[in-house]
Amino acid sequence: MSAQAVLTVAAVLFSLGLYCVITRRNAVSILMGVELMLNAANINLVAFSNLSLGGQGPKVEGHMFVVFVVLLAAAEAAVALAIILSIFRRMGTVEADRMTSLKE
Amino acid sequence: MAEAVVFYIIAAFTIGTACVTAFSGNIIRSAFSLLGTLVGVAAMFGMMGADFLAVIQVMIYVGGVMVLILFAVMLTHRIKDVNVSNRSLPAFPGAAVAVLVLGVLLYGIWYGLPGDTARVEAKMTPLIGKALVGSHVLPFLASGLVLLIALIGSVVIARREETFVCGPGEAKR
Repeated sequence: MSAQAVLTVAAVLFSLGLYCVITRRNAVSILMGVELMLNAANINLVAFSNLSLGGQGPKVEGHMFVVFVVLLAAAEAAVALAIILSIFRRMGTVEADRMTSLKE
Repeated sequence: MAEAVVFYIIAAFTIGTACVTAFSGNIIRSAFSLLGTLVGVAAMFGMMGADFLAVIQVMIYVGGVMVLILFAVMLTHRIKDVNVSNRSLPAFPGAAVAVLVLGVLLYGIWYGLPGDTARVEAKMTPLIGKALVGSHVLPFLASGLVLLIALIGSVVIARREETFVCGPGEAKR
């Protein structure tokens, strides 16, 4: 299992997430694309953290980054979905190209 | 050899479910295939020797974020129109951007890196535990604060606006 293979999978995941973010109109789907991109970044962090092992003992920094990224992604998802719910109550839509005004 | 076979199975599963997430026209199907992607990423963490990350991936993403997303999907759609509610823009510009980014990333990965293994043999979980209360204790505590603020903030934002009558002598809102 080479680092290139792992990073390739992460790159494909990132591109799929980017495509999802660009083309979707539903805000929840856009959030799913963001989650895909975050997961790709997490795979990259772990892979590069393991790459830097050469002879100087285990490096824990990349793993720590992933811990905090997962934690902040959970907080971000909670706040974003709350905002989407609130927008849906006020405007009756969750499609990003119809949210054109900041107030009712 | 067996490790490589398992890795390619996991990679194919992860990318396949991510494709369904990105291309499916049904948002419920997108959400449930995102579940598969998250489980696949957790399995990849496990294969890379990051056991603790695999566990928190399953606990937080699969157990928490996916439930949140499914709740949001169900709350923002009427059941009858769930099939048509995942409209997309025309595919070409987004596909062009995504393919360009993928090309740049793959070029950098295949021509800019030494061929090294991505698997760590050391036990990372004790190291993560020591770092969380040692060198990284400040971000650890700050993330607790962030979680508290996010929790309260999301409750306040998602709260239903109700017009309620105050006690006697006070103004009606």
